[in-house]
Amino acid sequence: MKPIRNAYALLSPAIVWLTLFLVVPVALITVISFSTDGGYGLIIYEFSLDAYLQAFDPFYLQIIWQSIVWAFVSTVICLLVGYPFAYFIAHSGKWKNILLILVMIPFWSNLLIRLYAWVILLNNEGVINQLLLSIGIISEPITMLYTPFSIIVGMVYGFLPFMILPIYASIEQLDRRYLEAAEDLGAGPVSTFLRVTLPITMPGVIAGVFMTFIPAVSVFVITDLLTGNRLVMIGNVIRDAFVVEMNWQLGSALSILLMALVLLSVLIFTRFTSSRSKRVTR
Amino acid sequence: MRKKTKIILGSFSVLVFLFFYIPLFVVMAFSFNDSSVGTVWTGFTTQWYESLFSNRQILSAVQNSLYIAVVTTIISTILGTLAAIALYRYNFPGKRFLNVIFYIPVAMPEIVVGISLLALYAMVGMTLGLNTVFPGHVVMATSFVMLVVMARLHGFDPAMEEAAKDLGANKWQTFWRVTFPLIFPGVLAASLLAFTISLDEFVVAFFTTGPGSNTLPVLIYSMVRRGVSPEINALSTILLIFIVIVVLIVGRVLIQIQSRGGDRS
Amino acid sequence: MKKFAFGTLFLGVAVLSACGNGGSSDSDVAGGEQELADELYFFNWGHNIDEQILADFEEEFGVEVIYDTYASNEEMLTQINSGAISYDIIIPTDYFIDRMIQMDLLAELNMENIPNFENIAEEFQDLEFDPENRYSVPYLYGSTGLAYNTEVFEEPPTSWEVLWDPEYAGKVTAHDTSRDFVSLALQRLGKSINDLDDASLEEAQGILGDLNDNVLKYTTQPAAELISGQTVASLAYSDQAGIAMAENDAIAYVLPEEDGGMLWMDNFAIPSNANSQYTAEVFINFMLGAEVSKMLTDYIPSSNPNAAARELMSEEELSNQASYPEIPDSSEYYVDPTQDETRAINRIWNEVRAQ
Repeated sequence: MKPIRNAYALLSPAIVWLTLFLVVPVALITVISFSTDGGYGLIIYEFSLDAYLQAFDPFYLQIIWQSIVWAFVSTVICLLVGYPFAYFIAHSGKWKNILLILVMIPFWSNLLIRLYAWVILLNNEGVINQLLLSIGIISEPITMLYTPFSIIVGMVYGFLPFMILPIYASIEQLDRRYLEAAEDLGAGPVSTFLRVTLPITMPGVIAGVFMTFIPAVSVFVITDLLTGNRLVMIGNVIRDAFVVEMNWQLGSALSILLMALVLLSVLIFTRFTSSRSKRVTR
Repeated sequence: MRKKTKIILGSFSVLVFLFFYIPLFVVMAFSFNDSSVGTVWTGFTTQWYESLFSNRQILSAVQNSLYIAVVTTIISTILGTLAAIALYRYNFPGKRFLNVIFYIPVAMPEIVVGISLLALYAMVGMTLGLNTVFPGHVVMATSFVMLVVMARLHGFDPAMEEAAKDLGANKWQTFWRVTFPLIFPGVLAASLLAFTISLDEFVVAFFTTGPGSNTLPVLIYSMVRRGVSPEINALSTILLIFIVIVVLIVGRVLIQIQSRGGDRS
Repeated sequence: MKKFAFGTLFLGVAVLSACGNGGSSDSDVAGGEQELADELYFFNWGHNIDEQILADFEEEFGVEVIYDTYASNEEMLTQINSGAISYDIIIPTDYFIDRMIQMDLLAELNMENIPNFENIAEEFQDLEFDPENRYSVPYLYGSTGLAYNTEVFEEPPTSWEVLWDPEYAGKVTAHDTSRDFVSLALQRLGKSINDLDDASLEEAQGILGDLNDNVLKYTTQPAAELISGQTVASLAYSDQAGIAMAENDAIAYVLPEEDGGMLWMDNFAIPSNANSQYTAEVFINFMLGAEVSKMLTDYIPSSNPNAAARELMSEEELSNQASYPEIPDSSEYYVDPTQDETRAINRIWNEVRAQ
């Protein structure tokens, strides 16, 4: 019985906080999603499924799907860039903490400001094109801004730290003896990485994937600026439902639908990877 | 790492750092731009630096943001780390459920966090102010902290704690002398993330902040219709240079202390 | 009895709150014993005032101004509507005044405290969204028209059609607000921007796909690209056009003669749950003073509805075509749409872009 008491003792501060400021508000949103629309944010407490009927609109589902695809692509790229980078930092000895902080510092200045900087960089008459033109690598400006390329640049730029930090945290503890043992057993660097390093750091990778993918699904500020508001993401739709259309029922229903989808994929993904990584390590 | 791997990874990492910092160099350069619309270069000026210091709104927003971010970081790091230890170490009824709960703030669009908290505050008759902002930020940041620390705890060797206990250490000593140093890199990474999330968050902040307590991101976001003032570029430049200098100085000192005390890595 | 918003949603406090909101405040304002509060809470658009004005007010009246800013009427309304926050002064745009009056969110003004209201030019008094200025007083106004490059267009364009012209594909921009987007099509079709029945909207949607293919991006800040020459014509607020014109002589601004363009007016209003209505009225009166009002438009290139302030302006300032353009007969203010209409407009905006 004692371990259980310990567990709850350690958890209780977080539970209290999350109950007050998360569970209660989410419950509120859930109730609202089943209520009747009284116009301009007014909620009439009569059970209604109207909001869900509106939310399960093929058009919204298509937008959700599109948001998921963009989030997925960005997450994969973040992983491919973030893993080796985190690996390097984790192995830079006494400099690693400083390097880690240097990774975060750019993210302490404002997102909008940094995105405007990307607009300046990627523009047809922007810094990158001017540079390439003057060196003579290209003879005509490459259109980068307001293209899928700029969406990916923006998303990766915005979310990369969320991939790097958890991976760093789990690589940093990788015991060198495992690697040496693997090499002593004749494993090449590639198979050492695949059979030892990657499975051991898998929890970090999974955390990184979630922390990148999940928020990326509902992002809209980044895509608004780097597509010139040409891409509709589910984040835009939800914001507009609450703020512009003042339809709290629809906004709540869409949010709950989105959260359900995301949590479901989290559950499936953890099932899948935890059974897999166990098989690999054993 | 082999030498060749190290060189390849090293050059790759330099590129990633450039990716992170080049936009900031652009911000710095454009803080000296004569044009008020920001994205075209028209000439050199220092006027934005001059007007920045007479802009009360910006300066107080910086203070508010820092206050919120620091409070958020402290609270969420403690809550998230404790929760991660509990969830990692113990099996208890409701564990799976709690695990999912911690994903909700990550999964919830920020606007929903913001609006639902606003509704909650209105319901209980709370007056909005600076201190109504961080509860929402803590909710979001705690999840991230929990996830990072959890990732660190996987592969944590309980034998170390056992050994400490066998040597007669009590719970506190075991935690502070053994457990904490082992998970510290995870806690550091997590708290950095918490700080970063809070410092630059504006949707939740907008809906939960009260009169006179705008944060910097809220202020900047409010300028989007008319164009963000170049004073913000000047501010970003000053803050960035200041932070980098502080980090490098503190870092150097820490490294010196570390190497005097014996290199642990 | 009216029930509004989530301040009143829960705990069954609807009755209490409705009385609180609906109770008229003009009765208790009359009389001589009014005192200034220590603080004035002012909620304004971002980047919309010379802060020196606030400092001057503080000095003259000994009232500290707590100043906050917002990015859109909708966000401001969501906050005010929650009831969890109280400001003394807000600056809603035209039809939001109407909506907020409907929602019982605004206090009736006591004009005895705002004698400077007479400075407001007659043409800007008694506008449709608040016919007797019972709840609002003009702050700044402007228009939404076409900013264009005179090196490309020798004659001012007379229609939104240029935004559709394939010759300028990728060189034009439009606003990222659903209402302005749809209104472009409505006006081009010769309809009113307030003609929002299904048939009109459907017809509008029919031609918006082509516009979507033509624009470089959607933004309310087209100035930068216009200045650099990357774009040649943009839907623009008059103040944004003014910024572009100040930095590049080739840029000009016009309300297209055939289609009309949109007019807008930002207004002072006092929320019904304000802390001190009297202080707010004193502040409005201060702001309407000729010199203070001129300071406002010296800082922001919007147009000044204050006749007394205009008298202080130079010929050059008054002939600025961004601030004081010629206004075609077909130019209109927006009328508050119903919620269904808003939804339909937003739907079109999303569908056209998602194609």
